[in-house]
Formats: sequence, structure tokens, C-alpha cells
Amino acid sequence: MKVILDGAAVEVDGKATILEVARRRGVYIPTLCDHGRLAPHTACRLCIVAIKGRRGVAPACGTWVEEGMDITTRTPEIDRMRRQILELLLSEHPSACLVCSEKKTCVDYKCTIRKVGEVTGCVLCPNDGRCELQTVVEKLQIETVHFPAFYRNEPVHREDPFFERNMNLCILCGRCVRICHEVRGASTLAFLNRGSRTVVGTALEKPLLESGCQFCGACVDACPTGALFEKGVKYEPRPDCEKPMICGFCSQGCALLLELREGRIQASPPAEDGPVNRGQACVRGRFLVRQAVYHPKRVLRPLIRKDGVLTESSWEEALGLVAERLAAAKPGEIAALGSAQSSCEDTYAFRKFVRDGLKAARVAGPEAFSPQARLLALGGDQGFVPALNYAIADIGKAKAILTFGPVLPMVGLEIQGAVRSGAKLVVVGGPETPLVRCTRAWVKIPPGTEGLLLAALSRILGDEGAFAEGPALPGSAEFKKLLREVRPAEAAHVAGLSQDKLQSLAQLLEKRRPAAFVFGPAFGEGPGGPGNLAALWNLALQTRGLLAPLGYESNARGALAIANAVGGLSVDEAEAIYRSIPDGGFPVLYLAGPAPEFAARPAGFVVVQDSYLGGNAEFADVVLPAATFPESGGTFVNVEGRLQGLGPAVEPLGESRPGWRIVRDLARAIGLPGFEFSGPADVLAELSVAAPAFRSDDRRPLAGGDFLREPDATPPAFAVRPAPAGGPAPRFEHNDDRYQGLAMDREIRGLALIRGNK
Amino acid sequence: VRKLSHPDHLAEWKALLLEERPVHAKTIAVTAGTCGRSAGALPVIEALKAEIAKQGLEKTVGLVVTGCHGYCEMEPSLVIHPKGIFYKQLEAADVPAIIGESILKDKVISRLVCHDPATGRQAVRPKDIPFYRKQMRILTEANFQIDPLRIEDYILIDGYQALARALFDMTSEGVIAEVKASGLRGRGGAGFPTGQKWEFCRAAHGHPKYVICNADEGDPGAYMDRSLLEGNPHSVIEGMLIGAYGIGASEGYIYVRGDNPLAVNHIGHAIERARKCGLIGENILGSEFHFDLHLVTGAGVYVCGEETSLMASIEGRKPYPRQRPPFPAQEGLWGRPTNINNVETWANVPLILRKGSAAYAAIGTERSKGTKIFSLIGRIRNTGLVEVPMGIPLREIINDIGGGVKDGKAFKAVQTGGPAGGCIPASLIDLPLDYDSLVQAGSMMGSGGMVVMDETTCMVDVARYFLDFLQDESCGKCAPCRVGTRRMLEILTRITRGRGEPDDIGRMEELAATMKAASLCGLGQGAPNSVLSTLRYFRHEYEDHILRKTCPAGVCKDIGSADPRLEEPRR
Repeated sequence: MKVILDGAAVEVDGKATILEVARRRGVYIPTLCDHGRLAPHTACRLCIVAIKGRRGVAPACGTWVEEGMDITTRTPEIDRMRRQILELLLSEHPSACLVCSEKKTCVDYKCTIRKVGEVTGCVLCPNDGRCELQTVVEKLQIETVHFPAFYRNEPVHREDPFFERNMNLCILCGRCVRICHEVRGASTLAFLNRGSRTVVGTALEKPLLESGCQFCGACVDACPTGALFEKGVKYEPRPDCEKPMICGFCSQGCALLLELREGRIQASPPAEDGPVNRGQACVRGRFLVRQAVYHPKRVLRPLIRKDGVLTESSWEEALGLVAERLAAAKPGEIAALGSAQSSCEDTYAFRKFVRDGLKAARVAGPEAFSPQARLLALGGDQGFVPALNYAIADIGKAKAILTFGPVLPMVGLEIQGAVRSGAKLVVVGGPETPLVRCTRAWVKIPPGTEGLLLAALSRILGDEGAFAEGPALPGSAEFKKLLREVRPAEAAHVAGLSQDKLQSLAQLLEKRRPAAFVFGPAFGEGPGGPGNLAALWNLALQTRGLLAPLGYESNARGALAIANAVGGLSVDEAEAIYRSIPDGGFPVLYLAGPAPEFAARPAGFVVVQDSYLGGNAEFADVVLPAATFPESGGTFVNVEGRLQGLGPAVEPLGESRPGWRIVRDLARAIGLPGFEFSGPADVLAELSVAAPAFRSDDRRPLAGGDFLREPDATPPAFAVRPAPAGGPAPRFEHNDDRYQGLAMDREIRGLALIRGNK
Repeated sequence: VRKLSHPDHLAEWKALLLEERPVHAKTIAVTAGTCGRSAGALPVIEALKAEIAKQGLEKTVGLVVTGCHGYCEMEPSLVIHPKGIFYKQLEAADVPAIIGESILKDKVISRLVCHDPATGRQAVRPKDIPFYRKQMRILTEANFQIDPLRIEDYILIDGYQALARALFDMTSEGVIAEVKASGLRGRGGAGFPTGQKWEFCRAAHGHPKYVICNADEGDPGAYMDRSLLEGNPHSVIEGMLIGAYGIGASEGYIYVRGDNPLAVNHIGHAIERARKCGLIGENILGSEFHFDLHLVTGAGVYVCGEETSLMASIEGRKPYPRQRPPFPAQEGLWGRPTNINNVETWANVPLILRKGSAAYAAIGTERSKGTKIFSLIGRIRNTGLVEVPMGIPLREIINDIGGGVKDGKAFKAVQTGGPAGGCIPASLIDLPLDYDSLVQAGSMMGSGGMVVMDETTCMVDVARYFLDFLQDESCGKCAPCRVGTRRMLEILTRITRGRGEPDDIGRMEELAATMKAASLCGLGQGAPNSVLSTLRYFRHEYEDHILRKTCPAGVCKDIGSADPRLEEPRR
């Protein structure tokens, strides 16, 4: 359609607001309440424009252009009104610095700094220099406020972890309230009172900790002023550079934009262009990166146990000792445990080292227990290779969603978005999570009965002829035969559900397509795990729904692909290794990843490669300090199978080194050839040769943003062979809040408060 | 209560009711709206019941507890039918005399009747009383007769016949055409043509469609809608049913203030009765028309009278207004096409269908048709609700109906249109009261509040009062209203305390222009009106306060006071 903007004809495609059209044309319209992710609020009224043929003025942010609309963005009267509205806002916002006559010289010489206190000006405001109010004041050239200043005198809320709320700086644009409600679905923040007494706060003015806040920090990032501000950086100088980084705390792979000052991380807000998180983060990514990297439990130099005490040493001495003991071990005496939180480069180097350098070692990693590994195991039992890649965004397109166990934060947002646009969510079992609030039903069934319930659903759907349309899939005839033996009434009884509820669940899956089935690691664990997985797999095939396995560790998918290429173990074998280690099954232990907590010294010689002095360091003979993810960078594969790689953002702290370099140096100390990497790029190049999953069709290595290749995947088929019983769950703690040896939910105070750990 | 499944059932029921009705020689109709009750109507009713029982008159004397008769100054009052004797300012002690003299002996008790101040003669019947003489009570007439808790009483005055006519003799388009032809304009304030509004909603895509009755009457001293809901709730329901049929709506909401408990009670009762009779529900009167009606009570937030806030409140959200367009007719309640009208507008609809649009359009002026109920309060002798034809000169309301200003003081101004309206000075006393003349005079019709002021009123203080009300009731969403009302109030407070500055008038005018143009909803846009209209007609009073530090009316006591604590207005 054609519209006229300030006299110029503009062609507009699709639905757009006047503000959007103006921005595309480079026409500046001031605004404070508009936010890209939020519905128009039309409250600050700074974006008023004139439309020919309409009475008065209209807000550009909340007015959609129409064919032939003739818009004037500036007239003397509009400018006057904008300035007056801004003056009204400034009359209730500490603005002494904003309209100070010495503003210009103050920037250089701070000549007037002592003339203002915190409550009257910008000089002591944490947001000074990146405040949107300052920008708009500049643009509108406000030099005086013609109204007497009014200070709200609201108490500053400092009681909560991670950020403060100072409503004296608030201009009530409502972005925080709206993002909390519209995007995060938490609805923790709200407008309290009305009229000139309106403030943003929580229900009954309780602390955020008691108000269901997830501390995702979305409100802090949305705030145009300093009203909501991160605590730790409040009094630090402004960052001098920003570097993108993939968050290494969980398997979603959110993109962060690290704010650095003199090579130190200050804050880690989410990046707007992150393909997974699109400007959102969770408490870990948003607030814990700095705290984890500079945590007091970091190991900064290699440690060697001397006379029973871990003593700092040089890399040379530590590596020499490790090399000596590893080389001296007899075949089968070494167990090496990897990590699924290291980059692909680190993981590949480690795996290769164990395979080539410690020929007789048994190696395993937590990726062996990931839902993806269990799905592969299911395929192995049933005679097919499942494809594991999917897109989190597709969960948001589902019309019916079933979840089993807690979901990842961004997956939660997708689900909430789907529910807002009409999808129905059913939470099956598990603890109460924030998602339970927006479910149609929370089906609380005893653990272990999931498979029974799912089979019953398959049976009911089969009875109603609700096999999805399309060509019959392999095994569907046998599957239908098997279903005849399922007794829905019995299953409902065992699961403690009424028949009606079971029927309504089946109806939901029948009427609402596509469906999405989201499940966490616990779903496939334990004796009933393989049965659960088989039943879910079949139900998803039957309804042609999306099967979305979630995971814990940031690079579990990558580690799994590497392990499978370099020589991986089955779930059972991995479990056997983990079980036998605490019982002294191996004289030499190389722990580069999580292990069960030991009650006593588990081996004659224990090497711990970690960034933190965790629980198992107590039994370590040598501790090799590893770098954290912002220091080592590297390639990570997220839960979808998406490859994301970035260089390091900061130098490793102390003498810590990235994992691939520790391996290289160790190989050098042993005298092992084949590890002469000059940098992570070398490792990746070798990896893409060794593992076809990391290679594109034309044999080039995959680039960031590509999905892991699954050349072996076969067409899906129904799982019709009897599922074996699963082993007992591994004895080390699965925990989203654990990063390497650091239990963040205990060691970082703010997170401990949120998780309820005193 | 009968189940009505055919249009003829209405007439049959009426005939049956007439037949069954005990033939009372006399019927006493006692006013017991909220106003009557607060003036002491309930003890009078109890005493009447007791006295009738005592005298054994149950068979011959009927007692009807009605809604407000409008003459609030004289409450508690009653009318004895069929003669129509109007007794005023009653107490329980008057009851034996009323029964003994007027009922049994047909005598008029002269101390209880009104007198015409012009002639000094007794004015026994309402039509003789000056307060009623110049009124045209077509909406409120039924309040003299019917018990709002009895649907039978409404059936007896041909209630729901207009609905039957619409459903069986007219198409939906025909109903809208009829309302358009009547020239009915919205009684809620802005005066938008009702038929046109219905047409927009009918043409909008979306299903289901909703109709809403805005009964969130919140202007200080205005209680037209409360009185209609209390006295004749079925007329509102019938209007909504007809409107819903015209628009194609299948569900309706009545949003009524919770602080009008009697109105909530009566309209809730009426909805239940109408539902039991099959007038709400499926296949109404045997037609293909289905309609369900819900009652929502608001918490007494002024901004909920704004249509988008009201809908947010029904949806269970914080009642913040939102930008229009899209208008409710396109995207209203739960995003569906919605038509909102005020109580009085809905109550006019059955009337139009019953009398025909031509007869209705014969009342009023060229661009303002029908009657309007005004709530006449302030420094006036006859406080009450008055229903007058559109276009009646202000003079007739003040002097004839209102009986002039109290205590012999001089008439100074009348404030119309609620807090967002304006003041009309005594010099414009011949102004015809219709939508357009009022706007031209710098005020507006609003919902019909009319506050009379005499020479002892300070106009700056009046502006301050209304602005204080609005800054208190501002929802706080948009900046011009939230902060603007507050800064404006500070300036006004400063002026009334003798600390006004010469620039203040210009400053207020500039701020008013911004608020009027840039505010999000009608509350903020109308907020500066009280200042602008008093500045227009009483600028000299502002100048007296600012330049000469005097309050001509002697209202602003703190003027000249040096106490700085007085600077801060209420928060």
C-alpha cells in the first residue's frame, strides 16, 4: 500500500505501524514506551503524529498505516506538545543533570558533580550514558523544565538478588510489566495503585523472591531508565566493548552479548539476534556468567597433592606427574570421564587422547545418559536410527503440547507463546513448574506409569481411526496388533486417572494437530525408561507429532556425536563404568567431567580437570585448571542440533587453559604424536574429518548456525519389539544449575536464594 | 412467572394479569430508590404495611414500592393512585393520617402536599407541581407505578412488546433503520448517533458479537442511570435485547457500579426473572433469536466508564483504556465486535419501537432528539432527577423546574457534563440544552449531571475540585493525563492559596492544550475542560486570585497564607 510520510510517498508491505514505517525510512519519532517484542502501549504519547483527515493527533506506535494515509511527523504544535509531555515526565524524574546548563562541560571535567545528589541528577545514576530518557531529551532539545520537580520518595527495593528496583527513576512506560506478562508469562510485576500514585511493583508489595519471579532479567533489559538495574555492576564504569557468546550453562545455546570493561566481564545480557532466545535469557545466562567466571572457587594454577595438601605448582610439574602416572598404568586400569559442558574442540581432543594415548582406558561422559542417547539406544533395539534434530520454534507452532518433566526456559517461552495463540498444554507428572500455570490439565500420575498412559492414548486414538493421514509407516500393522492388547481402562486405573480424563486427553491429540511431545532426561531413566520412550515414540509417530527431547549439558549433542564417531559406549556400559568407579574399580582416574560424589578415595591416582574446586577435588592428586566457556569459546551443539561457535571473549583467568590445550600439552608431555594443534580451528578441522556429523554435503566443515548432519538416520518406524528394562539411574546428580565443578545453586548466593537453598 | 414461547404470550399474560389483579380502590406508590431510602422511605413503608393490615384494608388498598420519582428534595414521597395525590417529606408518624384521611375519607392532607410558590396554592397532583409541570417524563413515568422487582408490572405496561415487534415484524436492518430514523444519540456523553454505531457493529466481521450496557455511572452527583436501573430495570434489558437483535449479538453484559447495591440487586433480579420467562436465553419468544445476558459489578473506578477500560475490566484485566482505533465495533470485548451504550440510551430503544421513530423524532431539536434526564443538584431549591425534551432552555430548568437558586442567592453558573464538562455562566441562561449548543458553550451534555452554583461559589475552587477528582481518578497509564492533571492541580492549588504567578494562566492554557490533544482517553482529554471553561467565562476570578490575592466569593480561606505545608495537594 502507499502512504505519505512527511510529504514523501512510501510503499509499505503488510501490516505496519506508523512508527515502524518511519523507522524504516530513517525518520526519527521519539518514543519511550515502545518495545520491539511488545504490543503497542501508547502511554508515553511522545510519538504523536498528525494524520490528514483525522481529528487531533495519533500515537505512531499504536496506529497502523492504511492505504493513502497522509502522515506528518512534525509540526510546531506537535514539537511543542512532545516537549511538554517530556517535561511532565522529567518533573517526576530526577532531571537536574538532564537540563543543566553545564551539561556539556560536565562530561569532560565533572565540574558540577558535587552539586547534585543521587536523587536529582544523572551523574550518580547507574544508567548514565545509556539512558533512553537522556537520548530523547537530547533529541527534543529540552533545556528547562517548566514544572516544579517532584520526588516520589519511593523506597528503593534492594531486598532481592541480582537487581534493584528504584521507582523514583521510573517513568511508567510499562515495558517491564508488559515484558513480564506478554513475553515471559510470569506476570510478577504489575502496576500498583492508580493515577499519579501508580508504581510498578509486585502483588502486596512482597519481595520478588516471594512473588514467583524467575529473575530472567527481561524487565531490567527492557527498562529505558535506571529504575531496574543489575546489582553487581551498579557502581562500575560503563563497559568498553561487547562480545557475543553462546551461553554454556545449558543445552539451549542462548546467544549473550557480554559487556566487557578492560577485559573483564561485567554483565551478560541476551543478544537480540540469538536464533534460539531472541533477546531473552534466564537467570543463569543473564546474571551468573560474571559470577561463575570470577567465582572464588575457581582454580587458577595447577595443584599437586603434597603431604596430603593440594599445593600450587607449575603446569610443567603437574603435566609431568600426570603423564608419568598415565603412562605407567597397566591396560584397563584407567577410567576417564568426559564432560558434556565443554566445546566440541575440547571434547574431541579429550576423546582422541583417551583413545590414542591411553589405549586401555575406559571412557564415558554424561552425554551417554542424555535423552538423545536413549533415543538412539531405542532405535538400536528396534532396528532404526532416529533423527534427533528439531527446532524449538516448531514447539511454538504446535496446537497440542504434552510435557514430561521440567522444560528449558526458552522452550517454556515457546510453549507459553503457543498457549497464548490457542494451543492446549498438558503437563504430565513432574514437579510444579511455572508452566503449570498455563496448562489445560496437569496430569499427576505416579512416576513409572507414563508408558502405560501413552500406550492407552495410542490405543484410544487407534480405535477412533486417528492414525495420521499419509503413507503407512513401517511397523504400523504390527503396532496396531500390539495395541489390541492395551487396556485403557486398566491403564487409567493404574495411573490414577478417570476414564473421562483419559478420553479427553486422547481427544485433544486427535483434534489438535500438530502435537508436540517435550520430555526431559528423567523420562527415559530408570527401569521403565526404555518402555516410556518406546510408547512416546510410537504416539508421536501415530499423530505425526514433534518429538522434542531436552537435555542438561550445553554440548551433550556435540559430545554424543563425537563419542559415536570416536568410539562410544552404550548407555548400559557407561552406567557400568560410573557405578564401578566409586567402588575402586579403576586404580587411575582422569576426571574431566562430573562423577558421582565419592565417600572415600576411589583410586590410587586421581586427576581432576575442572575450573572449580568441587567436591571431588578432595580426593584429587592433581588438579588441572580449565578455562570457563567465555574464556575458551569454541563450538557447541545445542539441544536442537544447531551448531554455534564463537571465539573466546576474555583471556583465561590465572593460568587456566582451554581443554584442547591441556590435552595437547599432556600429549606433548607423554610424547604422543597427532596432537600438534596450534589452535581450536585445527581441532575442528580434524573433527569434521573424523565425524561426518560435522561435515556438510560438500565435505566442508559445518559453520555456525548449521544443524548437525544425521547421515545415518533411517525413516521412522514404529517400535514394536519389547522394550528392555532400563538400569537404575546413574549415581551422579543431574542438575541444571551445575557448571563443571560448581554447584551454582549452592555456591552463588542469589541463585541459592531463588532455588530455596539456605 | 410464565415461560413465554410465542409473541402472543405477552398479551395473553397481560390479560391474565389484569384479570387476576385484585381490584384495589386505591394504590399507594412509595418511592424507595437509593435516594428515597436514605431519606427514610423504609420506615414509612413498614408503617403503611402495618396500618393497612391494622385497618384490614389489604383487599382494597394496594401498596407498591417503586423506584425514584425524581423529586428527591421531597423524599420520602408517595403517590396515591388513581387520583394521583402526591405527598412529600413523609415520616412514619404521618401514616395513620394518610390511611385514615386520604384513603378512607378521600381527603387531601394539606400539610403533606406541595405548594406552587408562584400562586401559593396547593399543588396536589404531580402535573400541578411546578417541578413536574415542564418535564416530559417518557422514560421515568413508569417509576410512578411499577415495582421493579415484579416483571408482571412491566408486562402490564406493555413491556417486551417492542421486543416482540422487533423479532417478528422487523428485520435486523429494519430495527437499525428505525433507531437511525429516530435520531437517538448516545446518552453517555459524546452523543454519537446510536443507529450508526449499531450499523458499524453489525457490519463488522467476527463472532460472537457482544452488546454492553455501560452502567458505570461515576460523575459526582449524577444518578440518572442508577435511578433507571433501580426503578425500571426491564426497560434496559428490553432495549439491549432489541439492540442485540439488530446488531446480531448473542451475548450481553451489564457493567454496573458495585457501590450502587440497590441497582445491582434490581437489575440482577430482573435478569433472573427475564431468563425464567424465556426472554433471555434460546429461541426468545419462540423466535430464532438467542441472547444471554450477564451482570458484572465494577469496583467503583471512574475510568471504567471509558469503554475500552470497561471491557478490560470485564475481561478481568487492569482497567486501562487503550488506543482507538480499532473501535469496539471492530475489536471489542475479547477482540470481538462489541457495541457499548449507556443505560439511558438502551432504555430509549423500546420507547422508539413502541411509539415509532417519527413520533420519537418529533421530540427535541433538529439534531438532538428525544428527552434527556438531568441530575439537578447543587445550590438549587428542587434537587432531583428531571426529564426534559432536548433543547429546553436552561432557564426553564433552573427557574421553573428547579424553583430557582436556594436561599435567594443569585444564580452564577451551572456545571454540566460531569468533571470533564464545563461551566455555563448565568449570562447564557437562555442556552437551549442540546448536544451541539452545550459543546459550543464550552461544555458538554455528558451523562446529564447539572451542578447549580450561586454567587457564593468560587469558580477557581470549582475548577480545582473537578481537577482534584480527575487527578485522583486518572488511571495513570498515559503521561499527559497522569502527570498533567497533577501538575495542573498543583498550579490551581497554588492559585487558591494565593501563591499564583502571573504566568500561571498561560501555563495552564498551554498544558490544557497538550492534555486535550495528546491524552489517551476521554478522561485526560476532558480533564482540562473545567479549567478552560472557567477561564473562558470567569477569567477575572483567576486574575483576582493571582494578581490581587483575593477570592471574590470568599471561598479560598487560605489565600495569602504563608504556610508552605499548604502547597502540597492531596496525594
